[in-house]
Amino acid sequence: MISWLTWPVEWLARILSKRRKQKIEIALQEAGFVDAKQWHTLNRISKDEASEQLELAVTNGILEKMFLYEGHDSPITFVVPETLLDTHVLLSEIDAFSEEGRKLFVSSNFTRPVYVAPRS
Amino acid sequence: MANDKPIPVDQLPPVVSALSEVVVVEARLRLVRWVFPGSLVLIILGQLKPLAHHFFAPFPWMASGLGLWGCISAAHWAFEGRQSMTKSGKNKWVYIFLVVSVVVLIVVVFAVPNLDDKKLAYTFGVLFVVVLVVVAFAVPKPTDFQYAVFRIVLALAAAGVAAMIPGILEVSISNWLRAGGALAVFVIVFFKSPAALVANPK
Repeated sequence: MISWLTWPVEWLARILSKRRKQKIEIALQEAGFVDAKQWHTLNRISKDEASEQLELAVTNGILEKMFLYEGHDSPITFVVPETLLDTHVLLSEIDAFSEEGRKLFVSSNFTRPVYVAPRS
Repeated sequence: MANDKPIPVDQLPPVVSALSEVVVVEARLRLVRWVFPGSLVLIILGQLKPLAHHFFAPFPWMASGLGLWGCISAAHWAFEGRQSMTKSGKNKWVYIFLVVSVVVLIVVVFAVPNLDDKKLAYTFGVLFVVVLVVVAFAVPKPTDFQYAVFRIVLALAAAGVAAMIPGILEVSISNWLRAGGALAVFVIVFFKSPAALVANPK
């Protein structure tokens, strides 16, 4: 309801970030996640800045932090929340139905942080 | 977390729209660095009556009005991005610069001879706006009592600053309140409660 007072900076921010948003849309298209390295390359900022921006977005609820499993023992690529790191997961839970009953240990050594759209 | 399960990557929704919002948030933080001091300059320019003769008659109130609008907008978004501003080394120095520039402005106003009531109200208004912005960093989650105090102080500060802005503003609320000029600004800021964004930014 106070948006008419706070409108100038918001309006300018949206105008000035239009080109950057278009560049990101072209680069990422339908990608489900982004990591700090991609963000650093896309925005031509330092890796530390890229990590900081993504972490801040997580704090503000704009993004959600997950961990991409990169081990070779999984038939499909999946992400897990931090609470499932270093635990066992059922492969059938991640739609690998041919692996019914088989468990996989999601070691934090074989994961890397990625950022996804928040789930409701 | 609502859904603590592993998710196949191909079932993740596109992250592009969320990243667009990240880009806008960063743009806002960068803009605050320029809009706040630029708005202060506009307010100062608006006080220079000779410019009205040089440009056009409404120039002083237009400049001051735009400057005040810009200051409020920038202060609001600086508060929204307070976590980032206090974490980032660059933005911390920007903020110190903004506070120092406002203090210098206040000193300059005090140094002007024939300081009258209006200028005094304006000076304290600017001072309290700055204090509130600093407090916003110190108290990121105000209690109900603190929010109530912020609301009153912000309204008084806005009225003080508006005392120097020429122009006519009248506010009527039902049959029980009519206000004009700086008091009208107080009424608008108090009842529309911009401090609600302080307490509940979402």
